[in-house]
Amino acid sequence: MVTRRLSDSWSMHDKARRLILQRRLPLSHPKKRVFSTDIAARPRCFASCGAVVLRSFGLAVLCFATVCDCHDANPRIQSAGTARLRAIADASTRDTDLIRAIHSLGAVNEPASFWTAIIGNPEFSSTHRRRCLFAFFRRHAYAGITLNELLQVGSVGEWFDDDQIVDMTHASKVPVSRVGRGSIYAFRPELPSSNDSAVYLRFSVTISKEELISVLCAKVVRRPEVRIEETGCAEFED
Amino acid sequence: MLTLDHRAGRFSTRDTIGAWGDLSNTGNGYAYVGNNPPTGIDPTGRQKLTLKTVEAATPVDCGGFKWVIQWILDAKTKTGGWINQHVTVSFDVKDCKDNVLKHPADDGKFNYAEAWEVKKNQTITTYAQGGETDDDTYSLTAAGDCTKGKVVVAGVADFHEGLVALPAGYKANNPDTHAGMLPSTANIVELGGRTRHMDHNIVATWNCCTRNKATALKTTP
Repeated sequence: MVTRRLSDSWSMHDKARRLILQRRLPLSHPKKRVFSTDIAARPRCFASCGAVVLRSFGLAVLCFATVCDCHDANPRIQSAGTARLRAIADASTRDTDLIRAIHSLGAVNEPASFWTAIIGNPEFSSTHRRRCLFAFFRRHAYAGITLNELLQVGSVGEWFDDDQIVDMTHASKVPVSRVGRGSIYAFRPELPSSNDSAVYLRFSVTISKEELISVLCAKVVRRPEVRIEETGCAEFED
Repeated sequence: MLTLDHRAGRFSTRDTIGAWGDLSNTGNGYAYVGNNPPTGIDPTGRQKLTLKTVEAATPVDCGGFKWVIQWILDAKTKTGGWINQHVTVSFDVKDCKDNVLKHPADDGKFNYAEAWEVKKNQTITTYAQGGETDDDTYSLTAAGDCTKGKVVVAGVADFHEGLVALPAGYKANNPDTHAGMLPSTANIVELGGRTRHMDHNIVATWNCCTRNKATALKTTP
């Protein structure tokens, strides 16, 4: 039996400080998004407009104006969001500023391709790309969406590889709950110099790895109603 | 205070935990970490790894189950260290005509070691310190209707007091294991500084070839 010397080993203390970010889906609100208060606010805005549309055509015009108000009501916040996106899309942004920008983005207004373009761009550091990958999953592959909606997210790019998806349904410890009998998969990005961080997805039912890959890569969905029930991140610092 | 006779490889005074606290030394209160001093230390003679059931073992039809535990040390560790568990799973699944079947979860990766860190002056893992209670979950899906059989999960856990770092090869989210976010490896190596074994086993037997489908569970401890 091979026994490794301690001096050859790496230290969890030195190498990584573990950050576990959990995003759990309340059972009583199966489609509630829990990532930010801004996201929760956006559907309310549109829902109130929709109720008005049903009454009459005249009021529908008012509703259109209301929809515009929803976007233009606070231009200061809009421009702040744009500034954050600019910081994220800048490869020279310091890591601390990048973290701050990502975590203060608020409502999802950017397309998923904003993130995948960065993740697939080797001009960005591996840390920068990894943080964007986690943001991509948090903001565009979030709890509550169906496989059909996941299909619409867009191409995941060349950085994605089948081997990076691992079945964790029977794993000892995962950063998602184990409600029901749905499958749990970990997505381990193997970006250059990447560490052991992973994104976890828990589905509403048992789903094979082949089926998940067919959605992400081949854009084929056999069961469009299957939902992502929960996402979780096991993120390690370099 | 315990004193160690290096030549004899055993303590010259009796271990305060008692003769039956260490299954590997059952009945021998003078033995020293399995009489294997080169690979083991037992600085106080009182340290003991136990587990607390967070969710009792619950069967799911046709051989499935879930059991959630948390690791606890009897005494605060003065140096910190790592709990290391070697997990093996054996599957014995048949159809109703006694033809051998492959369990849907049997992917050949159920032989690995996984680890939890315990910081200095703590009795619980770093996860529990963060407020989590599910240190370790044994979870298996059902083998399916019209099957019968037995699944044995054997976990052998030790606390390695004073072990500051895991050997190279342990990594989180390891695709070669089922440890999830725990640092783990499929290459089992001997770690130094072990205290006492903690058996963490579950056996599921089921028969879904009869009208009365039933899954029986037996856990250790």
